[in-house]
Amino acid sequence: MTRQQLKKFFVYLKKKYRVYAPVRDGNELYVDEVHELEEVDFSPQIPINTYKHVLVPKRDELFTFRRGKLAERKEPYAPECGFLMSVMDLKAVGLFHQVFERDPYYQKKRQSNLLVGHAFFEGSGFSGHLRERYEEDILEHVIFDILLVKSGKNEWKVFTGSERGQETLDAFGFTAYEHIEFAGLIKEEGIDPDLERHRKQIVEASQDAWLHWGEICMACGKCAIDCPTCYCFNIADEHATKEKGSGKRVRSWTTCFYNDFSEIGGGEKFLKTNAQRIQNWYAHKWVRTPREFQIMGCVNCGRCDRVCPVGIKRADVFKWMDEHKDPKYSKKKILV
Amino acid sequence: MLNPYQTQEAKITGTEQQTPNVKSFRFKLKSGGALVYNPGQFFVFSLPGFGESVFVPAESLTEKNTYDIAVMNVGRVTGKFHELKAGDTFGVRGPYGNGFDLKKFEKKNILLIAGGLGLVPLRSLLHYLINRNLLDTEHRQVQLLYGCRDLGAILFKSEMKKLGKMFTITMSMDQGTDTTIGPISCYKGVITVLFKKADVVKNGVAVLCGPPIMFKFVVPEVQNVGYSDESIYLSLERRMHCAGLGTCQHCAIGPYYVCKDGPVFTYAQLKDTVQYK
Repeated sequence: MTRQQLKKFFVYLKKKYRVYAPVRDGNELYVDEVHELEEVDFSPQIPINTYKHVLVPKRDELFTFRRGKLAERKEPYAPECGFLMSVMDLKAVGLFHQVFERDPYYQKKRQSNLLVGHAFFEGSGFSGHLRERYEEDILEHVIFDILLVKSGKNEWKVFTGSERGQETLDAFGFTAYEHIEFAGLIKEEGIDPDLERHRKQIVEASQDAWLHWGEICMACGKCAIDCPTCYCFNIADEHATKEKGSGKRVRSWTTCFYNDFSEIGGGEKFLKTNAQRIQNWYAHKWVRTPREFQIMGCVNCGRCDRVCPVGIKRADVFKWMDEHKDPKYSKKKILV
Repeated sequence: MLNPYQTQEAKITGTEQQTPNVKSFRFKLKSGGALVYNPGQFFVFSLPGFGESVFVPAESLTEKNTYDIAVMNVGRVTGKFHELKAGDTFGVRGPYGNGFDLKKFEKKNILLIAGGLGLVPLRSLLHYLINRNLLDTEHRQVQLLYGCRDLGAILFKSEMKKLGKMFTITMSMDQGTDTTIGPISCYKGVITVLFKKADVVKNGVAVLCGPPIMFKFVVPEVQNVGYSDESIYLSLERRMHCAGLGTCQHCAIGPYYVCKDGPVFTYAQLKDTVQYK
C-alpha cells in the first residue's frame, strides 16, 4: 500500500471510526484522536500512553438503575479504531482477550472497534517495534484486524488478522493483502523461558528487598495507567442529578497503587505500604498472569520505565531481586 | 452472552438485629428457586444506587429455599442494607469462589474457629451439613471455637445455644468474665485462650474465619495441636469489584485471586504468600 492509498484508506476509516493514533508532542508521542493522516507520527517510537481505552473505556456504563431496578446497557459503543498500534500493544490485546473473555461489555466493545497495527520490515527479519528477537511468525500470535508492515520509504505490506480486517480492506477496494491465521498467543516452541525466570525472581526475593523499592516508589500509579496490560477497575453506582433514585452502575479504571485499592468495609487494608503495592504490581505481571494464562503480563514496551517519576526500572528491580533472595530458597526449591 | 454482572431479585422476609451494628436478613429469591452453591462460596449482593457487597448466605434450618445473611454496618452499601425491612428487595449474583472441598472433610473431625463476623461462613457450612445429615456428630467430633468482643456481640445467640447441644461450642470474649450461655462455656480473653481452656478437637480438619490478626495468632495454636498445613483451611475476606471473575485485581494475594481461587485456601497454599495476613 502506497502513502497515497494509505491516505485514502485513512479517510475511509474516518467515515466510520473515531481514530486514535500516535501524535508527536515535543520529544514524545501520545496516542490521541486524529482527524487527518498528516497528524499521525509513523516513527518506531512507542507512545507514552496506550490504546487500551479502545478496548476497555476509562469509564464504562454497565447498567442504568431507576427506583432500585437495574437495566442492562443498551446503547452500542461508538466505533473506535486503534491506528498504528505497535506489536507490543497488539500482544497486550491478546492478554485482554483472555482476561475479558467472559465480559460481555468487552466483547461488545471489541465488536465495534478496528485494530490496525504497525510494524517494520527490513530484509528477512523484523526490527523496530518487533525488536530483533521477533521473527515473521510473530504475526500468527498477535491479535489485529489489519497490520501495516513498513516495506519501503512510503510503502507498506498489508496483512489481515481477522474477517473484519478483510472485509474492511475489501470494502475500501484494496485486495493485495495477505491473511494471517491466528494461532494462539503461545508460540510453537512453547512458553517463553523468560517467564519462568522472572517469576522465580519475584517469588524468591526476600521481603526486605521490596522494602527498598517501597521507599523509592511514590505509588503514583503512572506505570499502571500507562501500562498496556494493566486493567484494574472499580465498579460503583453514580446517582443522576435530575431524578432521585436513578443513575448508572459504572466501571472505571483505577490502579493497585492507590491507597484505598485493597480497603474493605471497616477500614482494613491489605496493601498497606508502597512496598506491598509495588510487589503486588510485579506479582500480577510475572506471577498471577503466567499462572493463569501461561504468558507474561508484560509486553516489554518500556512505558513504565519511561514514565516513573522516581526512575524505577524493571531491569534494576529484577537485578535487585536476584541479589536479595530469601535465604530459604535454595537453587532447587521453587515456590508455587 | 450471559452477563455475569446481572443480578436476580431477592425479597427480604424478615430481619433481626443481631448486635448493635450487625443485622441479619432472611430472604428468598423472587423466582422462588434455590441458591445453588457449595458452602464457603459467596454471593454478591446489590442495592442499585448504593453498590455491591459480598456476603456468604446460610440456608435456613427450617424453611426451604430461604437464606440469611449477616451484615455489619461499615459503609455505604451495608449502611443502606441496615435500613431495609421485610418486603424490600435487593439483587444477588453468584455463587463465586471455590467453597470448601467437602470430600476432604468426610469422616474427619471438624474444628471450626471463628472470630467476630467470621462466624458467618462457618455457620453457612454448618447449616449445609446439618440440612443434609452430613454433620454426623455420632461418628466424629465437631467443635466450634468462637471469639467475640463481649456478650452483646454474639451473633445468632439463640441458635448457638441450640447448636451447642449438638456439638461443643466454646467461646472467648475480650471483655467480661468467665461465664456460660446455655451449653456454651465462655472464657475471658482473646480466642487463643481457648487453646488452654478447652479440650480442642484433634486429628481432623480445622477451618478458620475471622479478622487477619486472628490468623496470625491462631494458626500456630492449631499447628501446635497437630494439624498439618494441608488440613488447616482459611476463609479470607478481601475487597472485590468484579467479585468472582478474577479480573478487577482488588482481591489479589500473591499468585491467587481470593474471588476465584478462594475464598477458601489451605494454610499450605498461603504460608509462603505475602499479604494474606
